[in-house]
Amino acid sequence: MSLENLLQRAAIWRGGKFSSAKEGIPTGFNELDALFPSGGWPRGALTEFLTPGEGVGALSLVMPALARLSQEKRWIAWVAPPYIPYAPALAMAGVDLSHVLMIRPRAASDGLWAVEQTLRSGTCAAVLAWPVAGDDRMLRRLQLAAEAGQSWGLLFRPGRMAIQSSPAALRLRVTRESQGVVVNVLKRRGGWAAGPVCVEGEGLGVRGEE
Amino acid sequence: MLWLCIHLSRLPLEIFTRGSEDDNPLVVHCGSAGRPRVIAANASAAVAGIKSGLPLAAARALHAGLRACPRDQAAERRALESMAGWCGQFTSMVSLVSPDVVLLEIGGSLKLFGGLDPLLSELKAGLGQLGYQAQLATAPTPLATEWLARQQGEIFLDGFGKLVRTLSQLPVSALASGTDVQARLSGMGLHQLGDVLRLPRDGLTRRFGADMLLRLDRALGRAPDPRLPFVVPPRFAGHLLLPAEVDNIEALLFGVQRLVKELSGMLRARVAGVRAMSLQLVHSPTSVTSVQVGMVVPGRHERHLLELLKARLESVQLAAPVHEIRLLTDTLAFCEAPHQDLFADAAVEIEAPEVLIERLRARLGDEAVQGIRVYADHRPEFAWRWSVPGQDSIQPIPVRRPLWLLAEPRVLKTHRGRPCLQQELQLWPGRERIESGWWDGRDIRRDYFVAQDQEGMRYWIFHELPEPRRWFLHGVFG
Repeated sequence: MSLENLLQRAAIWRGGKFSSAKEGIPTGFNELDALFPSGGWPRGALTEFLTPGEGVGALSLVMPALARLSQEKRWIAWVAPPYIPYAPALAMAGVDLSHVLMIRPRAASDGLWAVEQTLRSGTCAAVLAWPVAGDDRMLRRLQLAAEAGQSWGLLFRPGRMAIQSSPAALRLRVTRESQGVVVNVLKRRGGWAAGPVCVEGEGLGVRGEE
Repeated sequence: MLWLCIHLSRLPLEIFTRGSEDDNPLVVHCGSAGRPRVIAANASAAVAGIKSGLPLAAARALHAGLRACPRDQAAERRALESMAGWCGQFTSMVSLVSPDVVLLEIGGSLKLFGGLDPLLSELKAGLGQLGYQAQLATAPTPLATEWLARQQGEIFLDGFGKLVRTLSQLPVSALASGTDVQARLSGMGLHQLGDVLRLPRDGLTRRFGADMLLRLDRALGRAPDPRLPFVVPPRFAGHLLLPAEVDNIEALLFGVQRLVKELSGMLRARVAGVRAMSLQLVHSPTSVTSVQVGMVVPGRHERHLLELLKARLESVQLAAPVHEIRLLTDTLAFCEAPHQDLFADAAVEIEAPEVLIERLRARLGDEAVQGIRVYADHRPEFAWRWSVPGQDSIQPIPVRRPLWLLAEPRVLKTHRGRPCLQQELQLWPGRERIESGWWDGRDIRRDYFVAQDQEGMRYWIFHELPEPRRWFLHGVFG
């Protein structure tokens, strides 16, 4: 049996090269589409963003995908956001505000419940959350809820949570340097950690842009 | 035609026991002139030796902690009618026979349920979940099935073939014609219906009147027996008497579940949904705690309705013990069941947004779940509003804005005249001057800048033009 025949067989997995099934949500940035295994943000799973703070630009990275998802039938839910998501800026980014749901519970435990409900229900294509507490068991439940509802869960957490293990399908560390937003992939399905990749684009920022 | 009879032989007792799970000895008594007698006892009371016919005082002597409830015939009638409404999901022809029999004409439903056995097992399971123990029987005529169910139940005839033979074996007491007629029949040596059927017809008429012969003819299908169909009322009103006063919410949930099950059976029967429910917890005839649930989209799914009620009940404080639960709805609205897509490839059931929003609001409160929209105002803090989810929004003015806005602008410290947030901030070139809002007293005159700190985080800050000319943080570029 020759080497080519052997490699054709599906029973062999080659490390370093992942399957080219492109069923992810297109990110809107070529550099990220090339970096992620499914050619985009993972559907039916959690994506974790580890950032030093909100001003870094992680939300801008997901705006193109959120805009496209909101134009379709399903909704975008924001659970306990740290500041007010500014409607004019969201609308400028292309998000259809009639498919946006803002959930602001008073108790933190209600927040995790709300995230699980919105992920599981299937009504929302994407759910954004800023979990304050969250151990591995809770994240696993959220991952299962995202699979059940085929929704994209986005968790924004402080950078120091990187050392904690997490069942999220995709984990990114997002920082900002002078040339733009820098993305380090800490974990991705079907591949090793990768990066850093610098993403440039409108709204993300080269200095001096108006 | 095939008739099914549901005989609720223990109805006087069950209207009390279905409300709670506990099995303490309970009797129902009834009687005149201050000499109440036990007419029904539950299993644990029977174990103590109490049976029907015993004077109540003697029953109390047998078991000190006995709970005794007076018979409530109005409640029995209501329960029978609710049961008839619930049975509507099996057939459209339901008829009541006071005080404890419900008749269903199921000939036309057999095909839908896949045969008699599946229908019977679904019915039995449903009755169990509602809290009733019933004797069932089927026969080609309504009167025959009623006689069979009253005797012992569990006889299922599906045609006229064995009808005569089965009825012949019933004792003459099945005729229910009164004790003196009973005595005369047994005096003549007639103990079973078969004996009566063998007698000549004109002789029977002469001795006992035409009525007995007419009933026998109806039972055997030789004479027509039209029954009045039960008309389901436009609203649902379920009542549940609790055997003992309850003062915590968890114990009430058992009874609420029974009522919701009844409601959903009726909704399925009428292909309807309910828009508003009111759960009333009765402390005394004058004091009632009421819990309202309203829905945007008519709901009919049992689990969904129960969830909504549970969520609202959690925040209720009981002022006094409850001894009755009522579930009332408004007029039922036609509401189709969601269709199953024949070629569905998505295994995901996408829930309607209204259902998700209602569920979130039931637990978190209405203000916690909202949408947002753009508002036409130059002042950044007023350029947006909270809105009803799903409401359309106007397009914004095409200027650069941050994705995050602070609820209140935060004052920044200055160092050598430059604003700082932990470290000194560097301002990008270019500013936006906004002067607006003189008409409602909340006018602003500000210069907005994009600022960056040493880690590269970008903020939206402004310098107010009137004195004291402070710097504020208003937004974050996410």
